[in-house]
Amino acid sequence: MSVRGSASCWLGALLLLAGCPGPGEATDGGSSGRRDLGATDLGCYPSPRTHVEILNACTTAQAVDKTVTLPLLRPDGTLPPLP
Amino acid sequence: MPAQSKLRTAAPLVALFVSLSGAAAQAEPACDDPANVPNPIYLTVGDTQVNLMKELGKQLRDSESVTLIWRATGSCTNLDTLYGHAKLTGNLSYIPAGYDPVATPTPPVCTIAAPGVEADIANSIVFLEGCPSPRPADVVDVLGPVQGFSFVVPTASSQRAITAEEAYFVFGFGMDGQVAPWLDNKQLFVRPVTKGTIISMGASIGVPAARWRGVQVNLSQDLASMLASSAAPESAIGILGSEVYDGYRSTLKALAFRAYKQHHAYYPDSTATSFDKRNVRDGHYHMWSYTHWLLHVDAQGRPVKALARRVVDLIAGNAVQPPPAFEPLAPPVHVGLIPQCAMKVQRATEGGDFSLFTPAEPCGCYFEDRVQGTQCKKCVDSSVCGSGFCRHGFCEER
Repeated sequence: MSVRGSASCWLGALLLLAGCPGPGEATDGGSSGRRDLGATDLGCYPSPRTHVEILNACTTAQAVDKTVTLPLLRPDGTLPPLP
Repeated sequence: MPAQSKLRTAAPLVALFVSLSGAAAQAEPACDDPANVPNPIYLTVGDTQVNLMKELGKQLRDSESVTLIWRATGSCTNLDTLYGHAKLTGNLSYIPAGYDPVATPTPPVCTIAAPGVEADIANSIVFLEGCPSPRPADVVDVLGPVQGFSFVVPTASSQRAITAEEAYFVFGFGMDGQVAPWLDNKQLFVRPVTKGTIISMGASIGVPAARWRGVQVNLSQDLASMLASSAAPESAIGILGSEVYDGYRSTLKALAFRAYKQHHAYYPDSTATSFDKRNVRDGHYHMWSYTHWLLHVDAQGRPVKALARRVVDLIAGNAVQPPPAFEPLAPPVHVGLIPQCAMKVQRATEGGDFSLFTPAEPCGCYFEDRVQGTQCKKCVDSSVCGSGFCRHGFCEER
């Protein structure tokens, strides 16, 4: 796990330098229905509008990345029902 | 000395103790004594709201001679009490004259004899749909400040974050979920199913309150103590209101939380050590809900007890007449809650999706000033705010 200050992309003027996508351009691992379980930086949204964009809006707040091991996760990446 | 002799010797002391205990119990003031407890407002609130009761109660007692008297229990129990006109009896906490919450962290109690008194105000820290009983037509629900919730671990734990998927397996499956290091059900400290904390956090991770594994602890404060003293800190984890956790940062630490469909985990605050609740305000932190404040109204929709409505409006940040002699946002902000006027996102259901929120009369500058400092311009009226407005001592854009 690594802790990082995700100051990479919070000002529009820095978007290109930081490699941030423009509005509506961010890749979204969650919108496909699969869970993002890795620590890959999937980008951030400088002008969030939807729920997923708000969750992943560009921010200077401290972010924590975590790679998790979930033995019970289904092969397609979805969660099994509760027992 | 033989055991029986010991008992005989101790008997007078026991009798004296019992006598003194009885005298002490009888010495508690009556809650309905207008001389000692003027203008009483009876509340039944979540135990996460006790700090707010103390802060607001002191202001109301000092400036308006209004006395907050409350019982702290679970959200669903609070709602049932108000809905069913159930009576409060026994010992209730209250704010006396000259109360100092720092010198006396545990407020005194007063007693109310049978048949008791109805609550004027009930509090839920989750959306009402999270509790089984429907809201009667003669009860109104006023949205109050926002409260965050946190997964917490002992400071000795090496863990720094938890994902929604991990929490789903840890609390929905227990040790069978196979999520290291949380592999011991006896080290999962949770709350009873009537408590708002477990209902709200359950909504965020997709585990209904009744399905959680772990040890149920009735009071937040007890949970904090049990978790902090765990003999197995690495496998121990619990749940608390974020503002309750703020009072236990020396012995516990909050985990950053990564919601479903989120790329990174975040703390309620912008960093692990700050108190600014920035990620709750802007939607980077998923686990929060509105506090709800409910009271009875008559057939015309007017409050049955006008003073209760005033108290609710002060908590909710609504305008009241006459204006209070104190800054009404100060008590909730001071105890770690977030007034709605400082929020940038909103939601309509427990654990539901966010949408952007623009308060009609924002107070973000005031909030930031109180928790971290602000760059906003200070003001006493809007004349110095250009096209903006002076609100709570700072120029806001609207």
